[in-house]
Amino acid sequence: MSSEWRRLHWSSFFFGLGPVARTTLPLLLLLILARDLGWQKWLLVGLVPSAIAALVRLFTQVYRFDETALVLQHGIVSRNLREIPYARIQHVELTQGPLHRLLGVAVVAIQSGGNAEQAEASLRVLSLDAAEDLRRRIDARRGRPEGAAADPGPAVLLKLSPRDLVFVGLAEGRGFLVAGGALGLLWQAADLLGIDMPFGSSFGREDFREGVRFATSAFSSIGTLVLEVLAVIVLFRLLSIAWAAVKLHGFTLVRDGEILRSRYGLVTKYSAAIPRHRVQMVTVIETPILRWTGRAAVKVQTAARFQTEQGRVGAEWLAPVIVRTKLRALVEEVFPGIDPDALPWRPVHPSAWRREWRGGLFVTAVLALALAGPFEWWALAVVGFGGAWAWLSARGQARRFAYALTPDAIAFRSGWINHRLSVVRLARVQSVKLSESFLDRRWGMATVAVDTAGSSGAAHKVVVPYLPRDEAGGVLERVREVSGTVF
Amino acid sequence: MIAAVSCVGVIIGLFAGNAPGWVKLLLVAAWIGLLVFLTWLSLALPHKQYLHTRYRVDALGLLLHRGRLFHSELGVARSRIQHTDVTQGPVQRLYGLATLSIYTAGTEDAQIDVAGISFEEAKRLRAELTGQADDDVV
Repeated sequence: MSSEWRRLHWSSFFFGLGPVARTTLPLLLLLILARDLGWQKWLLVGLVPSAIAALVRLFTQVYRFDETALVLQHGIVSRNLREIPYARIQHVELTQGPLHRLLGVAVVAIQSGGNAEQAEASLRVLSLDAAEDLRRRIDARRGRPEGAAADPGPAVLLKLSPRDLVFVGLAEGRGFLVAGGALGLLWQAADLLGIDMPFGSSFGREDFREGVRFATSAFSSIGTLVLEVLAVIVLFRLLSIAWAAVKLHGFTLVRDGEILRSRYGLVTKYSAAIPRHRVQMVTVIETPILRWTGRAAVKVQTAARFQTEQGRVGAEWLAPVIVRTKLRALVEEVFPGIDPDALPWRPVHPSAWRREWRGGLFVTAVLALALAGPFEWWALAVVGFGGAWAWLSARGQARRFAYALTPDAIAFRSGWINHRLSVVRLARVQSVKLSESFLDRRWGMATVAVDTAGSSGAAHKVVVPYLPRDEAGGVLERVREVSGTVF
Repeated sequence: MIAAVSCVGVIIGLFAGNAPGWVKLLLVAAWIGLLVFLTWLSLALPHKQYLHTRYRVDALGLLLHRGRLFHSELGVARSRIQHTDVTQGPVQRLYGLATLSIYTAGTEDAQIDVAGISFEEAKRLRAELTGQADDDVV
């Protein structure tokens, strides 16, 4: 028996237009109202294909609830029918942007099990009632996973107050991003309205000189220079706090059976579901501000990649900020038996700092050569300062580099200013690699890296450099042994 | 490789338009040097790579050694192999060679290629790793 087909919400047409069309359309409407259509009217022609596609999707995308599976169908020319068994659906995610909320609709993402690349569907967009109905029906039909019979119900693990968000803002330092975005918008708006902005669309060498002259004339003394720099730093930190307050507004982390759910956002609501058994890596981040205030931040990497309005992300906040004393309990939620404060750390090669220092000196030398042209003898100051800094940083960095092997996990920590610590369960290791460059060979060192599912490029990973060669071989063997036999 | 060399040549040509004669000569010499070096590299490198590639299958899975200047030892457990491909390009077919590609659910090393082994060896290695006896099919 199968129920009747259901359709998308009418506003899907607008949301189906695609990001480019969605941003240009309001602008065009504005221009039409202003009766000032120049060449911009031709942009409308460019919108025709996406408009047709959006219309087709609006009228052909349907879904229904079968006995055992959710069935989705779309397309006229080539009809696509997808069945997702309820039992395989991991979770249903509703996302709402500001416009969605205005219209009372939501984007529904259906995440199924298996690989990150496997079946996964999104309905863009359903009315809130229809979306909740869909979620209810799926929840009712997929049943509870085994062993979850004694489920005590959702439990709040973490709830951030506005005060906590101040710490996040201070620690994250996103002020540059906010300022950059605001300036970009301002310039674009000014350009459109024909207002001449300083350093506007035609930013050239002259503007740069003008800027430098302006900046230097304002520094009448060292005192004012320091004041100005401080003012800029404070301003950026304030902007960063504003960013955190908006982006992470009302952050809550809830445990719901086998799934951890996080929910946050003021303007755009985010919600992520983190199946506990699919967590690949846990990273603890401690920037100086967090450290001095006895706090830390925690991110997790999962095999599933979440479909959000902002694109796919594999890493999610477990806690943008948490009091240090509660860290252990939180990590316990995803990696039972692992205490990030009691790992058996082992240092890297005693000469690691020399290599780090040489690297720093090399950079300093290149920088000094580049600066020797415009600044002449002042470049020597760069050598002195850069060399000292390189030494300091090499010493700190090398002292901080360490790894830990426990019976079922491998951990790596790095960063002497921003402390980072990542733990990977050996049962989650896909492959392990020892690499030894010609430089490594000269120093008798090697790097050991473990590969996991769903790790993203920029994230902190378990890649341990500067290990003594013999020890590296031992780590490789040990990881192979355990990861090859446990699941 | 050839495309890269030609690009460098074009760029040199663009910038050297109004440079003094000896600079032009120097640039052209450097370009020829680069050409010779890259040709040598493309002829000698595969041989060097071949000489330094070794692999072993033990109880834990595959261990693949590669490279000399940048040496690496990669370990993949049997249980982590998602699927495998044995591919043969036209030139490889001419010499009865094949590439065994091993896929894991990982990110950096999601695809691991064992290149330049005989077609038979590729099939044998695959059977050994995925645990299906080859004569099953026969």
